[in-house]
Amino acid sequence: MHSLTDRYVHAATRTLPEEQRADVARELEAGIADRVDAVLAERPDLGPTEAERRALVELGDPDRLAAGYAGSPLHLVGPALYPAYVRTLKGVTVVAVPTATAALAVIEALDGAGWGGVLGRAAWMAFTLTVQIAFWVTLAFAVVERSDAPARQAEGLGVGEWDPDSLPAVPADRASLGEAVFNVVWLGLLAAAIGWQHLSSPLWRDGERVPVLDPDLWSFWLPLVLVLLVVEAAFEVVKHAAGRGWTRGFAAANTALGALFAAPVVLLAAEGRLLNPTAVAEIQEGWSGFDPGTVHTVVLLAAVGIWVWDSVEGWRRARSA
Amino acid sequence: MDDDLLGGHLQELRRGTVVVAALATLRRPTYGYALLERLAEAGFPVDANTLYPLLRRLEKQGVLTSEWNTEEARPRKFYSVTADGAALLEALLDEWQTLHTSIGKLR
Repeated sequence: MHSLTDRYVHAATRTLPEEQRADVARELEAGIADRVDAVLAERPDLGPTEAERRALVELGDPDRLAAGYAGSPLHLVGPALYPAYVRTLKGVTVVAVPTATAALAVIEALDGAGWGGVLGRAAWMAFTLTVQIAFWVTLAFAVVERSDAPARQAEGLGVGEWDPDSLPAVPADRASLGEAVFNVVWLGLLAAAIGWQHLSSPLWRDGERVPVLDPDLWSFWLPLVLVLLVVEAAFEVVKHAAGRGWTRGFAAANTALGALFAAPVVLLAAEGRLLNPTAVAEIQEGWSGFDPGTVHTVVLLAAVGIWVWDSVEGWRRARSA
Repeated sequence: MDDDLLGGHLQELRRGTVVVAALATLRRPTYGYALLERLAEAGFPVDANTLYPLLRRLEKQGVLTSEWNTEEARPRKFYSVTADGAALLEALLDEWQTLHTSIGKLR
């Protein structure tokens, strides 16, 4: 049976080039033996086995020692390449994931897949793509890190030295990013709520889920509303990316888009077509005073109110900018 | 002043001087473990798993040379500075003097 020292020396030298291995191993053995002697001289009570163990613990992870001999890095991506690595990772993810996910969702939807199927497959696509991008970008940078001249190799990857031209523009409106993120998240929640009330409605009747909104609306109106939500979100992104804050043009576009979004909601609410009659009946069984007309009136007033307030706010900020 | 803070900065300062200390010590042939002990006594913080590879690297750069001594029961590899190594040590010590003078002027 081999001693701990034998095993340690083997672990620390096995990755070294053949011609160095025996020499390094012999020197390392002598060094460990010297250390064991020194430990024993200090603490004779320990015994040779425990002294050997202590000497090896002091010397530390043999892989670290091996890396020291080989001069290989103990990190995946080092400080020289790290900023370029993060930039590349972000850049590729931000461009590729939404584009590919949206394309897949459109194709699936045109293919006649159900809304649940489209959402699920799009989410899975986004997740898989993110993992794949993270893996391949990291692998590429780890390989470059281990090449002879990392900086020059990195230029070959198209991520050469940092250039002042790549500086991001300062947004004119300091609150712009937070505002854009908030609005996009809010629009996303609204879209999710529309999907949620259909797929996992809390209302049940005869063992089946009862959507809150009339399922017949999916033939045209609800998809239109979802598309308008995406357009609103795109507007927020464009406004933020332009970096000029609120301008008269944006205020006008905001009013027009708001009207486009409010129109179908107002129309459906006015005609009393928003709520699912089955859902209304179900609610009335538990709460006889429930009046769908009130709900439709509240939705109508809220839609108009939000549109007016949002438009006025846009114009006000465009003027004060 | 905070002892940890001082200790941390002192260690950083000394870390860069390990090569100078090793070259200075190796004007007389010495083997790895003995060098480790001499450096530790003199207050240079260096771990065995840093020093052993460092000696190999300096040898590869031609500033150290080595020879196996097999006269004793335990064969040991003795390192000593080459002519290049001695010149490097002088250059580093000159730089040290320059730094010392420059810092003195800055104060």
